[in-house]
Amino acid sequence: MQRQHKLERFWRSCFERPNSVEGNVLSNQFNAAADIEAVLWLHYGVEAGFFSKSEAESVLQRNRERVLPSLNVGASTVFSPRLSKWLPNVARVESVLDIEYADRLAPDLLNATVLEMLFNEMGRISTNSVALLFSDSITFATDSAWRELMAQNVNPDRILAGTGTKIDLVCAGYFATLDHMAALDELLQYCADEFGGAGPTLRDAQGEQTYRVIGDRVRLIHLWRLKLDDRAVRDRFLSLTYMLQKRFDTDPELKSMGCDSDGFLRIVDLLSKGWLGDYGFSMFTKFAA
Amino acid sequence: MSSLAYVTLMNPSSRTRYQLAGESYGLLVDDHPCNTAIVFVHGFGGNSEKTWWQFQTLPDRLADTWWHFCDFYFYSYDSTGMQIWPNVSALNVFMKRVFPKPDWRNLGAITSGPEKKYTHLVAVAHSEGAVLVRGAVVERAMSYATRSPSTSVFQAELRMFAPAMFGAMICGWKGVLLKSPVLGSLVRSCLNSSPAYQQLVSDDPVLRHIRNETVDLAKRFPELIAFRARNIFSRKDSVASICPLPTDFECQYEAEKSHTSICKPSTMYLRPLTFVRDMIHAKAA
Repeated sequence: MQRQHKLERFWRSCFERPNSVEGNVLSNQFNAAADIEAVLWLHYGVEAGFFSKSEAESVLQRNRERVLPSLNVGASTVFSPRLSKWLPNVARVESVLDIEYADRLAPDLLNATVLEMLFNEMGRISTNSVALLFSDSITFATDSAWRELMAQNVNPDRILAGTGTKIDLVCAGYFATLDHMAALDELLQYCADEFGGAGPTLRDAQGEQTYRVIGDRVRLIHLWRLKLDDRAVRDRFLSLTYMLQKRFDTDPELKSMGCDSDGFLRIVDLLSKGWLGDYGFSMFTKFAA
Repeated sequence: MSSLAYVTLMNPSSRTRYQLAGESYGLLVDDHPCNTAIVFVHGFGGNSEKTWWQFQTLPDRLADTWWHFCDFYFYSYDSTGMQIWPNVSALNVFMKRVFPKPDWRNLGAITSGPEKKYTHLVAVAHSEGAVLVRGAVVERAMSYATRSPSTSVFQAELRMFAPAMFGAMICGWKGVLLKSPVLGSLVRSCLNSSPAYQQLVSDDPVLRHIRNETVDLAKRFPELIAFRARNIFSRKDSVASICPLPTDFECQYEAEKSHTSICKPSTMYLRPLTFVRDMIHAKAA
């Protein structure tokens, strides 16, 4: 009963998202990709023993009408090619446990409490309307729409309130996404440490392997929301980051406090490394080794 | 006095700037006696110059001669690095040295200013500055112990722009960074070293003490108007918590201005001037 409740709650948070954010309608491509992601989490939950197979199949059965068209709007291209060969079958009820992942997780391998935290975090970001708009804009906006967005004035108080023009909302989503990236990185570390059992101070080789396997799977499912391994998305992310850095640099209040905007870039760089799982990577040439 | 009468600009009357201790300064009318001293007190992170842009010159360019009989004192203090109460005491000392007779030597003036004798005092403050002014009045009243506070300083008029009597909220880029758990560290360390910012929360004991004492004094001495302020807030204020003290005069609101622009007059926005001046005019009439 408890497991069913968890599944329903997670599914609702992923599937019952708003159609628009302050009048900015989310694109069909974004909605399709988010639907596919929700199904992928369903698979993952079953595989990790977090959701029961029969209940997951029941949810999938009920939502086939919506999931199937989502596969036909071209959104699947934002996912890794590693997933592309079986994505067309993703909504087949009988396929819930038929995914040929390279690294499968043994059921109940992970600490259920930590796993629940991971699913809660995914549910949280899936219902954060400004984060949805940010993902949609940075991934699916046309080049001209993005350029137009970057030319708009941005207002910090509106960002704080999560209201205002589209650029204010996208910036609010940018900050919400940075927070999500940090939370996710901490959660993945936490998952691996919890796996270690008796030795919490020093993660053993098995813990490292778990960290790698979980991180790899999470990225496979979730990275599309900020596809930093894609040149065009990375350039947009950088342009937004530099625009904000410029605002910080010219803000008299931050200036008088001695706030260091390079510190902002350093944090963004670290979060990007964790998000991609590539610690040899650097977003900013100034921090490249 | 209608606001329309203000828009006729004249050649400014002559004032001399007297640099006082720190970044405080006075703008004093040269050629005739003045009966009113107006002390301006800026807010958190503010400045004795820029917080009051155009108050320095615009009043003298108006047809309303009331302003021509007022001397202006722009008070400066360390609004971020010091706690509130030491700043309250320092403001109290400053006000004593200005009113009723300027004590030029102790005000830190490089050159001695003219002999002056004021009969009226007006304290104009913004944000945290309002907390300081209310605190200074309380501190002054406390020095009278059980006696009734009877000097003319308690007839001072208080004009508060966006007073932070109930604390301040986060805003601006600083607020954006502070709100972010992952980026907050960039500014938190700077703000944590600001005692005044720490105290600008509504349940801070210092703020609560100033509020409670002021309300109590206003009830005990209703004839002394220094315990009752006139407040104006921006409806869109994203910094100060909008709430007047229950014993204050009816609150005024400004729809189009922000927390920082509400106290900066211009030829297109004369309300700061009418807010400071009209009530006094009405009282005199």
